[in-house]
Amino acid sequence: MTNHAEREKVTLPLLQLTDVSYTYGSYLALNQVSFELEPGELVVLAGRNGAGKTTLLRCVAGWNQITHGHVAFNGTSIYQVERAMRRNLILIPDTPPFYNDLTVMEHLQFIARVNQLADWHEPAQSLLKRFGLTINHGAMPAALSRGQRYKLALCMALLVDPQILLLDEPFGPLDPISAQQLWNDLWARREHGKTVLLSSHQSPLNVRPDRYLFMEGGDLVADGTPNDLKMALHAESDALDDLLRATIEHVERHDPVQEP
Amino acid sequence: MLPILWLRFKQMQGTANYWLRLVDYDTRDKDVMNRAYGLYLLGFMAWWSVAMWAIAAGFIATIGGSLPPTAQSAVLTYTPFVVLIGLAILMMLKLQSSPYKLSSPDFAYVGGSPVQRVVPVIIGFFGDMVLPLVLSMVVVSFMAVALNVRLGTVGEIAAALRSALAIAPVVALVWALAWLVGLARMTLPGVRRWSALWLVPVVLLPLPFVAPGVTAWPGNMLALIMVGESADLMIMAPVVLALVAVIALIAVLGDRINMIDVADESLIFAKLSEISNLRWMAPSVYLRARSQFKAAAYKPILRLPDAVGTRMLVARSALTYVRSPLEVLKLLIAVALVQGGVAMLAYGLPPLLIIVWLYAVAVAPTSALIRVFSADADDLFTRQFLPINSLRLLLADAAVPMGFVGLVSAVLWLLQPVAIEMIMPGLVLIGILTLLLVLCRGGSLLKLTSMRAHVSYGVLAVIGLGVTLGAGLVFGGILAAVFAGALTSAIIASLIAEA
Repeated sequence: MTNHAEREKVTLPLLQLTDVSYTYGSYLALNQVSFELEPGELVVLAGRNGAGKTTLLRCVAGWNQITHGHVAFNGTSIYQVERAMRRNLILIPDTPPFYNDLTVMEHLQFIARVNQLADWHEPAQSLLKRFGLTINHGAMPAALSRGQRYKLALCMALLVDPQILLLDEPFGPLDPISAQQLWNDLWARREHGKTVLLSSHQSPLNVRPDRYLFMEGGDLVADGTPNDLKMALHAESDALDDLLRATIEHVERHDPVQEP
Repeated sequence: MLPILWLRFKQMQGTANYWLRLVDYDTRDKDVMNRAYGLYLLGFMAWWSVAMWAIAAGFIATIGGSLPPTAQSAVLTYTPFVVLIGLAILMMLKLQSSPYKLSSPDFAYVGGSPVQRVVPVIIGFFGDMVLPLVLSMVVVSFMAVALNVRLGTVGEIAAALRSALAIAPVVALVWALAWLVGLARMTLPGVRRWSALWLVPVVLLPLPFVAPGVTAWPGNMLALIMVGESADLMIMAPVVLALVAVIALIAVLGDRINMIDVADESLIFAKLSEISNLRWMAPSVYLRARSQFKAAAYKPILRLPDAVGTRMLVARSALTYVRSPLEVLKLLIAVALVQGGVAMLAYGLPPLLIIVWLYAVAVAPTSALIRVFSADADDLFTRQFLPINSLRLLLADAAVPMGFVGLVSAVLWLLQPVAIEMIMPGLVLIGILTLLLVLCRGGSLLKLTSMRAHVSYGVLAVIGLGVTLGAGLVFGGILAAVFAGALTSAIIASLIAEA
């Protein structure tokens, strides 16, 4: 019995979504979405505006209460372990808010000490340096540019070092150099067995995630590695924009609702 | 002068249009039916204002009939202090940045125009004063009704009208003096950058003990009219003369200010005036935007202490209040509410006053109690970094303001001449009322119960604090209120813990 339970525990996915639906009033924003994330995966969630990417990330993070389905973190519903798992599942929204009374460095100090991280100072300095915020360490976040604010949010999340990092449109506010730097950092996290799920319309040049999840109209319409999707969709390449275009065309051709 | 007046008139018209369109009246529509509807609205609003005032005055007269005979002497004693404290606070505000502010269009059309600076400054002064003037006239008219019940209905109304007229020059003088010091700062470039200059008006507070005749004079005149000891409005003539003199000085200083400095200190005002309608339609959004605009220009003082876990939350909360001293001043409103609640039971004040007290509790701006918690609870991004339940977070975040309110209230309580056996129950009740205020404020930010329902602060406060004070009034003692308050606190706390 114990061996069976242990075997089950070992094979459980890190994050599992089963038939997740979410409605805003009568509008169905997510329609029975199911997928799994394993440790050490870097997954890109893509889709057109309004496809449901942000809503999905918010449901995964427990920010929105799903109307149907199940979200499990290590086999347990996130609503049962919500507080305990907060540190292990962090979502950075596209415009993260901050405390108006704390400086950049104090944000890092505050969250590190509240989470009882002992040796926080050196990693915090290192993160600020990597994201080019050292010079702003004494500034108030409200004085930072949009890109710098997103970088501060990244520093906060990376300092806490969650098991799963969820990022909503991370490349939008960043310059191309910072975007490439961020991708490298995310890839390094993946190498260390951490999982990243990010939504994006764009990605740095010549990079590929482990998997793409494509959404359209609240449905998860494609899930696979770049190469598998390229073959299945007959796309020009395995780049994000080509795969997205091919996915949309495929959905519009095959979806019976879209047919005249 | 005329172009500036015309500009301000058009701006006022624009604001009025916004609100009138909400009741389906369009000022640009010259149709007869539309104009008739406008007249109807005007008549209805006039009737509604008078009727509401009369109903409220009738209710207040009932309470006034039960006021102890000491109430009039208390008004005579405390009114000058209230006026002086109001003046000190207003001066502090006007010393923080230029009293005359420019909106975004004003940067170009007023700040950059060759118009004499005195003109927009004087117009700005009167514009800034209108709303507080009207509000204070209404409030003082109610107070006069309560204090003059012995004169009958006609006498009450006459006293209310006299008091409303008498407070106008007092409020205007207070506003003018605050503007004067604010403008004086703007004309002295060396002084303008002193960061602690805004604290200087604190020196006014001990003045009533040094020179009571001078400092208490406008407030004394007002108090005499309010309590009905003088029916002659001419006693306010010296106040009016002083007002005219101060306005003349404002004109002199107003012409010497540098519009570049004014523009520099108007940036936040200009941004906020672009979303000014949100102040009434969505106050929380407006307040958040305001605090963000202010935060961008803020120079942090002191450093975040190095603590761990919950103690870090308390340390951060303390730092926030140190960096926002005006929030500490706002906590005095909570002190006044707690004192009012305890006094009602301790002195056996008229039971009907509980309605006024609960109304004050529901509408008074006591959100300074949960300034830190609201930042933590409102934003899910920052909340996810705080791995504790909402009750622990609320208590940690509000420990500093609760301690301040409890301590100040306790000191004030100990200074009062109450029976020795009342002291300890009174102190416990102070603690419970402070805790309840915090729990009600905090609970209103969360989704409570398994229904994940939002319960507004007003509802929570009226139920939580109403049950507490009501138990004290019904069972005739502070101890009953203490037990009821403890029970109510436990219920609300458990709801917050599960939120």
